[in-house]
Amino acid sequence: MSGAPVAGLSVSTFNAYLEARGSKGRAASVQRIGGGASRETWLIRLEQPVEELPPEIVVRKDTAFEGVIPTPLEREFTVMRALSEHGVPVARPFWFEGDTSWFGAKFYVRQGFDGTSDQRRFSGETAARLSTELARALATLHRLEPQAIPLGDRDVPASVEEAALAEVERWYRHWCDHTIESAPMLEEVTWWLRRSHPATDEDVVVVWGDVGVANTVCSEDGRVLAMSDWELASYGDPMRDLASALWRGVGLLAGREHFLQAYAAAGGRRIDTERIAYYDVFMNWQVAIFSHLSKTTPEAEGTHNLHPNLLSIWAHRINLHKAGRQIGV
Amino acid sequence: MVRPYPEDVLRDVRATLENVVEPAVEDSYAREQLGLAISLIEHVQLRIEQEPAMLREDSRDIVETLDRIGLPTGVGQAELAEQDLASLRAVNDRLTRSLQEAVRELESAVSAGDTDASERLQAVRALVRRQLDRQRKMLGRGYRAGT
Repeated sequence: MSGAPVAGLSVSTFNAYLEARGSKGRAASVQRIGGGASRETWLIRLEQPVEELPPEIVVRKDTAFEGVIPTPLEREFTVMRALSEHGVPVARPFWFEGDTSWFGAKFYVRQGFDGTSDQRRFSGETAARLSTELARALATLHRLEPQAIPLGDRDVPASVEEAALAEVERWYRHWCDHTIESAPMLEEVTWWLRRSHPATDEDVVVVWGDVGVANTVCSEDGRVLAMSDWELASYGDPMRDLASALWRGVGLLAGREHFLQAYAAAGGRRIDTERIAYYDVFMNWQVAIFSHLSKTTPEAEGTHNLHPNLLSIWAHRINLHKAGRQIGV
Repeated sequence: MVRPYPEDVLRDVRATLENVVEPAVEDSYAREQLGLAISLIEHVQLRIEQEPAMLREDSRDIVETLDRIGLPTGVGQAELAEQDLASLRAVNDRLTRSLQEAVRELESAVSAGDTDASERLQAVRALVRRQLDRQRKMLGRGYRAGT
């Protein structure tokens, strides 16, 4: 792009981008979508659909400080592209832009949907359908050959245990490198995670890592249109995704057993409640880490999003508290 | 003194946001951010009220517990009796770092089979638990808009 840097996303700046891309699409509205602190999400409605783009598209954009999750935005884009080629319900990714002069940070453009990610909208039959659909989507994901979905520079670990320990050390290192505050309980939980992973001969799979209705675009009648938010994707234990789903409240749709049975019926991996319990602790610990880091960098100031402040104050301690209770501290 | 005090101002700002501004805001992102702002004001209100006493109690607890298990902190009574908030925070930061180091050392020793360390670790774990309990009292309701 030539000329002065563009400060933010608007109808006119996005239309300039579409034109530079050679697209005939023109934005009618640009709206920021709430929730989340890791990256910005914007919904763009086009004046009319064009050959290469649907009527709604989404821009997922790094914040000025690149996001609190240690995953490059480009990896999220390439993971989604690989998943879309292997029958996993994800939004179709269109373009990745590393040129930060467009909107001040890297971003990618993907398919948008007319749907909801609000779990409170589902009850009774539609909630049960969504529980089943999410379980099926996970089973589909867990049947993929891990090698088919490249995750940047990560190799596929030899075992689920190796994957679990590598993930603990990766996140702990991230914490140590970025924290500005001591957190004795986080140390305690880290030690517990290091020594407590249950043994298994289960195969390593591609793990979504952040499973929940809030990270899924759903139709009002309870169908899964797209699984989103792939920045926590990794190779690992399929039980991690089941724990993640239950941690985020999927069990409230139609009951924990309904969800687990639907996963098994859809050809998912063998269910192991001991490993699900381990990853429940892991989830609390991981969220405690990235929620605190969401507000510890000076670059996070002035992002016009209060979400990181509250995450850091609230989610960090609440999740450490939960993890501490789980491990008996 | 300069009235209104900060706590009076916060109370009134929060009430205006809740009763006047919030009902009039239609944009969903702006509403979410407003809800977060109100939650954060509540947190600051609690903090103004409780933080000095919480820091004193926490620092005293750390010193007493670590001293009891033979891990002196080097912080004396004079420092524990500090009055101004900046000093209280600085002392507590130092002590929490010491506590974190104690966890690392004791966990490492226990992993190596040191049974004496195991008993001392129990005392440290109980302290870590109390510390988080104290912090939680200052959080406020938080998370009106979910995660």
